[in-house]
Amino acid sequence: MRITNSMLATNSVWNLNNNLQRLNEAQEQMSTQCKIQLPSDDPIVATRAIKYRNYVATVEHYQSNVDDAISWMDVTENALTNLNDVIQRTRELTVQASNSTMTVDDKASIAKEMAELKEQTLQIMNTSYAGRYVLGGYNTDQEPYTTDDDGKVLFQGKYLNITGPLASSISETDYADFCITNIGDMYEEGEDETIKYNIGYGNQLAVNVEGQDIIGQTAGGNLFASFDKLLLGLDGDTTYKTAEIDSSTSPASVTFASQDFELDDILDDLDTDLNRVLSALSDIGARSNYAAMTKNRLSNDEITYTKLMSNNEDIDVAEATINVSTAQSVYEAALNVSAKVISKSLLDFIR
Amino acid sequence: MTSPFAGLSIATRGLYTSQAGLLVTSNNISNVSTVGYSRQVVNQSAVGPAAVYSSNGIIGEGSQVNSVDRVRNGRLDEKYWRENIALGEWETKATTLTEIESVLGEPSDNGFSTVMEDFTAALEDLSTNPSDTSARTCVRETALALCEYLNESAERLSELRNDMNQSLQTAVTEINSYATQIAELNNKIRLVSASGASTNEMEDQRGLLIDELAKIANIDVKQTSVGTLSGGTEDVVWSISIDGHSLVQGGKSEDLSCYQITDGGDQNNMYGIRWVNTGNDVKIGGGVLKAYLDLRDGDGTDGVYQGIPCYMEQLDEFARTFAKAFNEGVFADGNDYYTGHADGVGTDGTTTNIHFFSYNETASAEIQELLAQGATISEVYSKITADNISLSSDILNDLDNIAAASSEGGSENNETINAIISLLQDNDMFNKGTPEDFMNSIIATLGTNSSYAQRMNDSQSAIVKNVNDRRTSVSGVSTNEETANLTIYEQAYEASAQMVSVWNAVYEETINLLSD
Repeated sequence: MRITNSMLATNSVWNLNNNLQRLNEAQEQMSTQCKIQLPSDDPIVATRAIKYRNYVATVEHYQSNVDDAISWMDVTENALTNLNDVIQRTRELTVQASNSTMTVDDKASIAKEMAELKEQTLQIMNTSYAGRYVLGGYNTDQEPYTTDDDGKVLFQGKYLNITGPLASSISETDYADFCITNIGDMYEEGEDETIKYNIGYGNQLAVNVEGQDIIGQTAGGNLFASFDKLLLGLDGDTTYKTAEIDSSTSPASVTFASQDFELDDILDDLDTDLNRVLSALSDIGARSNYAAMTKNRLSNDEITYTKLMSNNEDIDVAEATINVSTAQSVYEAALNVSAKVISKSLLDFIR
Repeated sequence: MTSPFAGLSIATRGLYTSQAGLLVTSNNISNVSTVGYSRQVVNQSAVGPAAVYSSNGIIGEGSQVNSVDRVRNGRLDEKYWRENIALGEWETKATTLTEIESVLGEPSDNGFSTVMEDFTAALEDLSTNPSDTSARTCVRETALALCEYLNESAERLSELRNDMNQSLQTAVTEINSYATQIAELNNKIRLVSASGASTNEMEDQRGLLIDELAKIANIDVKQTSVGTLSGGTEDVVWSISIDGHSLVQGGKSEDLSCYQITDGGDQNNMYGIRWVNTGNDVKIGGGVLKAYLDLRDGDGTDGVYQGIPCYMEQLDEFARTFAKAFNEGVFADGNDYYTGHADGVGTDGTTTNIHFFSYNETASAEIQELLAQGATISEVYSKITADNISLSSDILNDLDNIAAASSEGGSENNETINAIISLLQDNDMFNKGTPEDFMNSIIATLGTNSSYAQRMNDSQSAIVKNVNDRRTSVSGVSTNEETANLTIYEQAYEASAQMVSVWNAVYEETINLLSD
């Protein structure tokens, strides 16, 4: 084959270009630490990269959700433990007060402590975490448990124990009026307001315990009703009243009944209240455990996915370094040879 | 009896021939870097004895230059043109597809997957803090970023498509200009060769023009001999055609023209190409023009090339289906699977029917009215494209309208947002999977097409280079060769000159002898 000058020149430039391109690719990989710059460099790596990045990002959301869930449940668990102590103490005081040797003064001081325990229960039930009342279902922006001017407890703005227990000395007509006025504000069992956090693909964890599941939701049959009963008893009453509201007539009719204080009944009530708290506590404990386990698993997942992502798209530094230096030396060699070949012709040697 | 001065005449002829050789060599050397130049060689021959005066005319009469020829292989030219057509096509496709890849920006930290991840992260954040204004702000901002990503990608793709259209027009102008120049050259070459002069340089120029023309369109070059010119050379008519229609026929050229398509179809307002003389559309089967047309018009259906409209259409489908699923919980197959955003309520616990995504910031109330008037969900969402997807004005104006809660309300109610997060991970949202999967399949198609175009471009440029190598191997100037020729002609010249002085001595001797 006849070799001409322009052939030599174009071939040299072509080859130099190819070498330079290889060097450029090697350097690009080295400086970006990525195997590919555009999907066309390797469409499979590109689509996998997107998939793996998505996995990693998702696992990261789940991790932060699980952390939030754990803090929320820790706060709840603490509150429930405290409440457990409060009920235990209440029970002790109740047994103590039933002792026949108790003087009026003793009873008065027990009544004082009892009132404080009730107040404390209110505070516990209004436990908040990051400005949110954790035991109030969906309405975390308002204190779930409040009291009106007479010390009647309201749950989510509704009277919990409008039907009693009431002091035996209460004026029945006045109270009937009170009941009729507030007939719309009586607490009624509502739908579950479970707050769920995403902690895995298709995996949601309920983080909250609702107040009614701790205190009890039936009128007259909850922790606050027990407190009210105890306080009335410690006041020296031997009987208390309950009201029954029949809303089928208009206006609603209210009938009253008188009940005797029975220590055993009250202790039974307290046990029921305590059991409710304990079961809530074990429920939240189980969920906490699950969350902790999930947290562990997620951090394993994160490591696995990050590793997959890195294997897929990151360069092997040693290999890339070798690639760069190989490309560099090849390029230099090509430059060297080209320079020698292009610059010489027969003319240089004719005298 | 030979003429007594025959020796001097032979020596003079030798001087002329070697001078011609020196001149051609110089010409070659000075054109060593001229593009398209074919080396020229002296076609010389020995002059036979003049038998007229003598019976013993047995001694030759020296040398003569018959012609100066260009060394060129027509077959290689034809091969080069053919391969250049494919090179033009793949070169343009490779660069344009790479440009599309950079529009979609994957894989990188500012492509779709990042925007989408940010949005999902914001939704997850909102699900654990449904009443938090900062979480709501984050959802709105990341959703805006998602819309902007789609808007910008769509806009840049449509710009790219317009670029293709403009380039198409430029290419047509180029074809016309090349065709006119080639026709003019054909004319000149014919005239000049009829007068017997050399047309080497003009032929080189014509070859160069056809090289360029071949890159633009699928031309077919034919040479037909139609007789002999008065100068004695063959009369060859060069004709060039595109898809069987003549572009250049000897000294005549036909023009192409661009016209605006106004049929209201997919190519509305784009350019069509037609022949000026017949008004028929031109069918382009190769070259840069084919690349422009494929990229501009290819919607990827029925085996048509996957050009820019194909990616635009997929982005539109993404925007539409995503908005529909997010707002209504309705998937690509038209079935309602989840609670969507419109089913949830805002922070006030009552505001519902908020359509989170809409088009051109249309208010939810307007969409609601369309639905009330009997438009189906698909009809309403067919108004959304990647170019116009936006948040509805309700969301833009009031963060409280982000519906995290189910109908019960409550500040910690995250049921709707949880449903939305689950639907975003559902494989049935698009017929091809989750939003990421769908986008991934666009990227995969694009990446594969682009890498194919690059491979084709690489191999085609290697082929073209190879053919060109062979062409230059034949036609190119080699300084080594010319230097060698230079030496040969120089020595021949010197020798002839020496001969003149020898004959001079001979005549001097003879004349002196006579005079004595």
